Amino acid sequence: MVENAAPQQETESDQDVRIAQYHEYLTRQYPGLSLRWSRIYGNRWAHILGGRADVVFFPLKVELNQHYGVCIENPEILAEVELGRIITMLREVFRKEGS
Amino acid sequence: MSEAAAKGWINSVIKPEQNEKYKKNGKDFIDDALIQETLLANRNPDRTRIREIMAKSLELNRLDPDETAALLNCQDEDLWEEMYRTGLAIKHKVYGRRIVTFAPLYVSNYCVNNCTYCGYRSENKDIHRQQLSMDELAGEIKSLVGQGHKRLIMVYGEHPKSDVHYIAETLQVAYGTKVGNGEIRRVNVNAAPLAVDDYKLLRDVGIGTYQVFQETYHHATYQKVHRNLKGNYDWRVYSLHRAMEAGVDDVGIGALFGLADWKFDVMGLLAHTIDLEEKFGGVGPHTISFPRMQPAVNTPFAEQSPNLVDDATFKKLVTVIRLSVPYTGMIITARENADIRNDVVNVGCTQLDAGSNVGIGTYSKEQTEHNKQQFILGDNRSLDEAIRDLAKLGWITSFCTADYRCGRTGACFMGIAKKGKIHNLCMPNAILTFKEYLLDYASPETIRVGQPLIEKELAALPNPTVKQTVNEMLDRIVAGERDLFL
Repeated sequence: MVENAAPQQETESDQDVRIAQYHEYLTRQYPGLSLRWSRIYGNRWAHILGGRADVVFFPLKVELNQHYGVCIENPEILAEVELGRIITMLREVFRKEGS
Repeated sequence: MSEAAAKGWINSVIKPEQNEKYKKNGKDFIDDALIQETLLANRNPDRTRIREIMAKSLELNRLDPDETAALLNCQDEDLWEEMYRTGLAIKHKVYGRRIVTFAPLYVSNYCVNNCTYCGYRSENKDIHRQQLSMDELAGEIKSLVGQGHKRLIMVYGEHPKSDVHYIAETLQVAYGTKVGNGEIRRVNVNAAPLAVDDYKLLRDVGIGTYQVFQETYHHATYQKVHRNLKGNYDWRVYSLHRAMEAGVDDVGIGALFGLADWKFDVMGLLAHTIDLEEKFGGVGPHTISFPRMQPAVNTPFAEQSPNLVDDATFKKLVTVIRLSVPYTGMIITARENADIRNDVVNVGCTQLDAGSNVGIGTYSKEQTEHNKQQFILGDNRSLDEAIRDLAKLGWITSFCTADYRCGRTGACFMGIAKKGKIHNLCMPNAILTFKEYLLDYASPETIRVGQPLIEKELAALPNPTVKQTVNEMLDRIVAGERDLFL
């Protein structure tokens, strides 16, 4: 599902819907995984979705492309290889979307 | 720009249709009569009730209007002393023993408005008008970075010369100007209300918080002191709704105390908070400001208003704001003198400016020119002096900008703050940024006061893993790394 290429010329709200789908997919695949998605505006990572509404001290901050990023709040629950695979997959999807 | 072109610009600014969706039965959220009735209905509150309300605040619950009215009407000085202590306890509980510090940077003082109380009003011929070029702005930024600042509030008059495109360009210059280890990491903006698409332009260049102060929520007073564009109450009172709609999810509200009855405007700030929270999923203002009207060049109204607030009342109104919205940042500016600030910071303020200059282009010249200022500053301490004084009082200065650079904005930030947990991040990040300041900018005297404070606050971090990580980060900062944060 995540690997499917996104349609062209999506609006910001289309993108946000798509991110909600990625979020749902990943949290279903990896129960307990906490993800905090952001849209990047210069220095500002504006919260879109997710996160624990609690203090997370050591999230893994991953820039997916120039417009989107995700903080993986509990990367320690995943094996290093699996974590790397998810990040690579997300970056590839967002690279294809290019937005 | 010709006068005709300026008038054409004025006519194009306001888009009333953008407010309509936020109104209820065509009315804004400030019901003057209801506020007056609420204040009247909660006269002479008894001690038990005041203490129950304080307990509610201490649990970090936002107060309802009748509760805030009861606090405002309290006549018992002993209870006020309890409220001051409660304000400080709330502040410690939510944000810890840190004060975020920033500098105001006035960029342009051209203004089409003619507000009775403002030194920058269009009819004030004693004010020297100036707008920074991008080169001049870079010079100002370098001067501020050279003092150690990391956070700015950039201020603009409402004028076609300083429209949203100009503001966006200045933000890019501010973020792009580096000096050695120093840089500005967060730029907040205080400017005129914008339309939704214009807010999106500022969002796209990475704005921090957008501030628009209503000045007064009292409709009749508002109309009396504001003319031209700013005379449109609705455009201003819904400005931050539009900002939120555009995706600028950190917004700052404020009232200028001295225009109308102070109790009314505290109630107005609360009503504004409640309406934002209702419309945007529980996310209200990121900060609340409460400037007091100050003397300004050729502006007699600022010293003659019948509603001027004395120092004792000012402390009370700040306290009631703290108790009414326990989880929101509160800013006390250098309009107030050092003694007032040192006192009032202890009832729950979270941010202050220091080393401030409110003229245009005056940081790089290291001089104060009153005929370029919007008002006369009360606190002229340098950043280093202010930081040292705060440290002596036990406050650690924070230049932290971490939250908005890792997605803790809007609902995410507010969710953590409302649970009283944001201090778990604020204190480590305050320690780290304070260490940077001591290494790069502080005087020997400030280092002498500040270093023990770092050690004390480091020892007080409750989480051993965090403590160890911060210790390691401090070593990395000493070794030359910068901008480390949790």
